[in-house]
Amino acid sequence: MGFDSAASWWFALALPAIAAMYLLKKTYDRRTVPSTLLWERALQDSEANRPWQRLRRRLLLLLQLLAAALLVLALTEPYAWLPRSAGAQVVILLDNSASMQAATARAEETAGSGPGRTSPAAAQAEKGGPTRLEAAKADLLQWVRKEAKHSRFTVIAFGEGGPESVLSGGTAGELEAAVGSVRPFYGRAAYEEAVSLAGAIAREEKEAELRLYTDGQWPEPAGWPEGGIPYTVVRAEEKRTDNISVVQFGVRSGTSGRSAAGTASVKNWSGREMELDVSVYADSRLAYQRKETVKAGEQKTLAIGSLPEAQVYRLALTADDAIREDNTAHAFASGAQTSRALLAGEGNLFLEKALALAGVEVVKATKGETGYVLPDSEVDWIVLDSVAEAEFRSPEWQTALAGKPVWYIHTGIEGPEEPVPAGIYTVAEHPVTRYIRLQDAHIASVLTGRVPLWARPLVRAESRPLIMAGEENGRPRLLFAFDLRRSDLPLRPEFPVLVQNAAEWLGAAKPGQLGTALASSAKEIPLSALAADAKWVNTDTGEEKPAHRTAGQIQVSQTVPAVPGLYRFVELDQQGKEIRNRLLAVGMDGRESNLSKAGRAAASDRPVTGADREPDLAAGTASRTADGRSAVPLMMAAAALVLLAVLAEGEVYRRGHSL
Amino acid sequence: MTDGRLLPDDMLVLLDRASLWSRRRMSGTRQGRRQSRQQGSSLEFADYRLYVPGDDLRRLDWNAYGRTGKPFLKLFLDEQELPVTLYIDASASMAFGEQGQAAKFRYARQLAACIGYAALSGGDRIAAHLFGEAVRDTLPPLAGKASAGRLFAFLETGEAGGRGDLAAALAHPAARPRRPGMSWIFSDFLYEDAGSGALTALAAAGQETVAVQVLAPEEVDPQLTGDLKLTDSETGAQKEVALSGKVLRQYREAVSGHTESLRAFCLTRGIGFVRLTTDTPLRLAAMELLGGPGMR
Repeated sequence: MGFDSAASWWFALALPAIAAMYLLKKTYDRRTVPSTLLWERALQDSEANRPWQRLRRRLLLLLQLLAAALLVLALTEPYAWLPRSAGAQVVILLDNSASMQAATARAEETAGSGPGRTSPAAAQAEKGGPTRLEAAKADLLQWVRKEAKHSRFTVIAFGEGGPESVLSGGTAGELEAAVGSVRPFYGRAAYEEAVSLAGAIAREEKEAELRLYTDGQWPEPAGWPEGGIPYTVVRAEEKRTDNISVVQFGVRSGTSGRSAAGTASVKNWSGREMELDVSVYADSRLAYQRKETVKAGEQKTLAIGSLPEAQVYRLALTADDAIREDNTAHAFASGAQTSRALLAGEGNLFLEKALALAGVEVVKATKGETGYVLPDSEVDWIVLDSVAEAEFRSPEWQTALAGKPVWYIHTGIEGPEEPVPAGIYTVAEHPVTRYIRLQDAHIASVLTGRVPLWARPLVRAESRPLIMAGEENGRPRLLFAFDLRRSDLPLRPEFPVLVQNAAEWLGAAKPGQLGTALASSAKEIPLSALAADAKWVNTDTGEEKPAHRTAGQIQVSQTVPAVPGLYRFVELDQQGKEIRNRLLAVGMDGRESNLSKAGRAAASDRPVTGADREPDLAAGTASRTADGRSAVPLMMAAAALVLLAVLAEGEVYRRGHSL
Repeated sequence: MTDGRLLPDDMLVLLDRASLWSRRRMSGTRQGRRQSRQQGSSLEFADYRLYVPGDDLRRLDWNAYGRTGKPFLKLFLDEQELPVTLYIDASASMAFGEQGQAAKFRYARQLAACIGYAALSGGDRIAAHLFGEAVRDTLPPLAGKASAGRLFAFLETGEAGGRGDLAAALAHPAARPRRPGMSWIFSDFLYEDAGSGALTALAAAGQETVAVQVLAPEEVDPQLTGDLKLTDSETGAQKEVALSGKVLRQYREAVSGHTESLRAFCLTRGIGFVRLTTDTPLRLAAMELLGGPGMR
């Protein structure tokens, strides 16, 4: 329980005042007079206009009603929009999330003068008017020019690694430049973080006010910061809420001479039926085209057959909708190639069978005099089954282990073996543990000791990790801390599934493509040992961007490019020669595609009380035109009026129903 | 007054020198100090007339008889007492008056005592009546200063209560004085007709009447506030009043209007009228009564 304004407690002083008034009140209820004769004469005039007299008698009642009404009004915490100059410090939270890229007008509405025009305005019109972000920027700059020329500004927008302040305490001129530099953010926007950052900055300043420029399409709820900071929510244009997006797109390579086939899921977020052209490009050649109709709110799965073999497939939807960036998706052919795994160990029939079932070509390492001998043939990943660490100390082994995904079974941890506590195993969400519950499986003992730094437990028996996974230098690592031969797990029907999952996960990181990633997110990319430099190249525009480095070293953890599209990650050696390049498909946050009202759940237009931590922006009152005006709470004023009404009532009572 | 007696001693001293003054020649039944219209035994000459058998031979003017040979009787004006009747309103409304101040009833009795004592001092005959709806208690006619004690005792024992109606009380023949004289009415005159009927009836009975309206200060200028339910002390009738400055002003106008109409009524009929509030000191009140409407 909390109180927005503790000062209101002063009004409690009214209670003893009322009580005192009642104590001090003279009671003249009945009074005997010698004769009422003269009183009757005196009141003859008054009684002539009796309705008015009755009304005067009711004055007490009217005042009581007034007081009660005002009390109720006060309890509703009213507020009014009053003209107010901007604060000395204005903290602006500019929502540049993907949903702000929605167009504000229809293409045909603004196209106007027809084809052939190449002016910027016409170009803008073609894509459906300015985006919500552009409109919000224009709104903001207009407000600054009109109302807040002399304020200092702090601008917060979403960027790589969370919300960041684009400008800190700058002037109006600096603000213009800073706002111009704000680019759309297609990644996962951290609204809660942005709001609390803005609140924290505003709290530190005197006379600070917050302005939030957003369309209210917040997929996650964000409570407004407490602390009585005045703020204004400026809603971006919401003329268009119709949007269609690719939810999912995948292509499976053809096997045994059959052509590749794709599946796509398309969702229509709008309230009307939409027609669209679906095109699939195989390495930039148009391979498939069809017209589709998607009903309002429908998610439609499209089967796309007979695709030629290609490195990358692009699905493009052509429709007149608000956001263009989510109409394209890329997919890499999967499932065709079998992976090769090197198995070092004494041999486990169950494991070998399961690997074979999973489509893994197993190459067994032979044991030499000094340990296992690395075979000449190239493998995709390595399985070490109960092999002492001394067996693979050789530099060749170390290079091989460092450069490839490794599955450690009953090895990789130095420490004593301890019995596994009985009970239910805790299974964490992971590609390896998909469909796995490990019910009734018995595991006798487990290695305990220092686990590797990369290891994250997937399966635990109480606090003891049984299965761990992680990435080391971008290479997947899987660790089974127990001996398969001392467990009945291989006898369980779940075992082949587990091995299949493990094989898929370990084999997925084959040097080939980088897969798909969310814009501006972090991704661990396995690097060649020879790589001295790397860069991102946009396959459409040819734009280049250097990869992230720390202290001159290329980092394994890279930030995915900010704009959706297909990128090539190029590794270069010290001479600047290309070692290899891999493709990464970058997509925008799918949650932002939802422009319908259901997609909103965010901050409110009005001050948030303690009981109302997660208000709904959509439910708030309109503040679209709140330029230069701010919400002034009227609760104190209402409470003061209640007090006045009560005092007036007391005085009327004392004087006898009239003033 | 302070020790329960109606009149303090210094008042009695003052009243010793006073006497009632009537405009009329009185005709009493006994010898008094007042000149009567009937000829009598005083020293003031009135007329001569011839002797007729039965006349008092002591009144024969022997000097005239010697000069004229005719028996003349010398007539003198007769000095007779003035029959004074006191009517004191003993209705419940007279019991009104704030604590610490004389209630109207007590004040009225004090005034009556003053008049009565003055009358007795002047050799007049005094009778007194306490009335409510009817005459409730009567003091038979008294004369002589020695009777003052009985008068005071009668007045002191009286108690106010019940309804009051002057006209009804005087409607009874026994309540009206049989002989012409002077009547004093001590009342608040809070009647619908302001007692005009009764005053007329007294005038018809040959009475020189003085109406003394006794009011409490809080009746004249009430200090009331709030929302009141006023109860009539006599009838029990209730009146709801939402007091305000305006209502109080109207009330004060009603009081003065009532008094003025009574005064006007009295003036046109030769009736003496005095309005006194109980906060008027008794000495001043007595002087006003004895010096105002016709006293010496």
